[in-house]
Amino acid sequence: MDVSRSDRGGAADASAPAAGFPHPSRPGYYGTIFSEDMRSALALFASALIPGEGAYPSAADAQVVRFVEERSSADDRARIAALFAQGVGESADAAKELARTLESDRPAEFAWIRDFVYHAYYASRRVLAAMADSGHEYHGAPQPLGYVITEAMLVPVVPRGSYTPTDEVSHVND
Amino acid sequence: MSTIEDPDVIVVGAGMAGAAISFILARAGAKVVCLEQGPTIHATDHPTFSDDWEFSVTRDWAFTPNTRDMPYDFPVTTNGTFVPYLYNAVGGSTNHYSGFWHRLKPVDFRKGTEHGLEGTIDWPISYEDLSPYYDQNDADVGISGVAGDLAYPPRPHAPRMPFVAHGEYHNIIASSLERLGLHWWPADNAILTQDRGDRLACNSCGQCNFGCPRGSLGTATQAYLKPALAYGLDLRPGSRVTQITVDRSGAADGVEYLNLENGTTTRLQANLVVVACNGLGSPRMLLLSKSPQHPEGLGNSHDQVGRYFMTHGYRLADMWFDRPTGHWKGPFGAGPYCQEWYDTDLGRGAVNGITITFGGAWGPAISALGATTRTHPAAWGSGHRTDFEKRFDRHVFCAIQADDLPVATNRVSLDPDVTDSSGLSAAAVHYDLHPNTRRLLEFGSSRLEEIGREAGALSIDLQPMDEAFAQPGWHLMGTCRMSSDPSTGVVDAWNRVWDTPGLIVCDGSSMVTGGAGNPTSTIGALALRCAERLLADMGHRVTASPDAK
Repeated sequence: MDVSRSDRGGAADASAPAAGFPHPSRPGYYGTIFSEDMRSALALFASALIPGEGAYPSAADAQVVRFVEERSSADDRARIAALFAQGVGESADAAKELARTLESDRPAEFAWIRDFVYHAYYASRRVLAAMADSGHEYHGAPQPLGYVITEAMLVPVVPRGSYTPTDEVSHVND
Repeated sequence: MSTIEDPDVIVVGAGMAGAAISFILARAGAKVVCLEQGPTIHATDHPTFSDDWEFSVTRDWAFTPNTRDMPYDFPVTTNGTFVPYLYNAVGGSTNHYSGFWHRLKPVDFRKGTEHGLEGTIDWPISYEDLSPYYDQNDADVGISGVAGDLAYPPRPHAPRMPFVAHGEYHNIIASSLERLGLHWWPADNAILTQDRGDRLACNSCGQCNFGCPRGSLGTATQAYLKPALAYGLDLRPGSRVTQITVDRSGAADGVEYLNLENGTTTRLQANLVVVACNGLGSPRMLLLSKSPQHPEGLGNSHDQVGRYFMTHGYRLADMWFDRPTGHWKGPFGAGPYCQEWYDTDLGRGAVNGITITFGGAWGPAISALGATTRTHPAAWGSGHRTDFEKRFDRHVFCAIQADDLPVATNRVSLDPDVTDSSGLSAAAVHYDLHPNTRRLLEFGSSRLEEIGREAGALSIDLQPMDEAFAQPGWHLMGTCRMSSDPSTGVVDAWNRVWDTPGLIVCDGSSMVTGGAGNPTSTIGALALRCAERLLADMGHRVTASPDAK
């Protein structure tokens, strides 16, 4: 059986008080703290994935490190620390080389950190501002503003379709 | 809110079915306690107020409980062929759905007559039996759409608000379908386009699947629980039922439940217990409730509980364009649909049929990651900006949805090793994609590519149907199915468990077939029909269809 979930441990004592009742409004802030080395490594690595271009900031300038740190569980922190255990190097080129190596040798790990960085980047206010400057209508949080759609929606010109009434259902071989 | 010490009825689960039954019974004056293991979702709990809303799908708003891993979730283990999607909270999975609102068709109730393959049987009821309750449910939930789809029986008593506006993709796809001469219709959605009481009209924010703080989305909470509370429903969130209890004769006589907030256990008695925990949770609950009178679990005298699990064959796709699609505004996932190939045609090498649905979905982060299929994420490095611009505002969500067959070995059981946070066994699901369903999905893939070409799509990324193929398990059906014979199902035509007096099971698990459409409308209709019969049996006044609230 594929459990595909984190280990929750065995049976709890049903008579013991429950350990709180986390509410879904908690978006995953674990109070995890990165070391300065981790922050530096992640900043270099993330900016290798998404460098600045025109009005768009680099991942580091888009505060990606802060986003990832705030939303990392202890397991996530350990995973990131392991990724950068050998260091990222001192330069953007070294960070690119690490990204290339990860992508080819450890694709699942690379995809995981890439996804985290992309999520962080496109939630950044600086990036959203750059998108707006580029002509995108998207404004970040969907609510409370929503969007105004003025384009008329098409409806079928020639209605088509049919269904089989109950009393006309017969065996497929009949 | 009322506190009821001696309920007439205990309802387990506050999703669409549990909510609808609670409402109908409470409104008629019955004393109803509804137990829900999840929390109440407040409007401000929804992630759509935050710029990182897309990230939430990887955490607390993940579709699968195995990722959320909240104390009030129950884990679901699988053999890797599908990903279980459900939400444990007041309102159930309607907190986390798109509101795509299909009915079954008359033929879907007679698939035993039509082919009888695998475990397929006829429903013990017909479309005509359920039709008035579909109408009632539509009125209660609030549906927007366009009347007149010839692919369905006429629905003169089903009210419709003006249909919801979509991004540019709607007209792109609709034009293609029109030119090809195929059936298509703008989808009905459980989304208000006009204010109704304290529920606000949709503001096209685009992300219904993350819940709707405006109340535009027709959730079980909006449609039924809020009015039920006004009629005295005793709703208890954070209440995890650990077992259904029975008396010496084997009849259901109550429940034991755990308060997840303070850890206390409560025994609550009633003459009637309604289980409405969805297609995975309900069989799990029956199997957890073993007793000397029911050593194999409730309703399981004929070894039927948990069998015939269906989740719709699904193959998802992203269609890519070189012009704006507006996928990030308007409703999530419910634009035009095509039912050209809904009915059985043996020329396709398969029975049953498909629906192809087109919709908007996601924002910039998931666009950059390759949208729904994640097949071609934007490059990293110096090419990222150009690749992003080719992705964001350039894709359309496509879903090929196949009518699955009920197969006896596709089954929910109790996991021997994995438990929830209270030590109760997880649901373990074995599901194999049937060759008939696979053929339908492959057939639909070819049709989708034709539609895409006509629409001018640059490319289509289809979810790979390789060994790792795991379809989304959005729809959980068939595992405590209705039947006209106790040996072929778990409940009768009125959702009464064949071998356990006083016990009702009503939700997606009751469905005998799944059709090729989303099931919430059918679940709501079944619940209203079931509730009306319960009232009659209890001697309460049977009320007419309620006015839209």
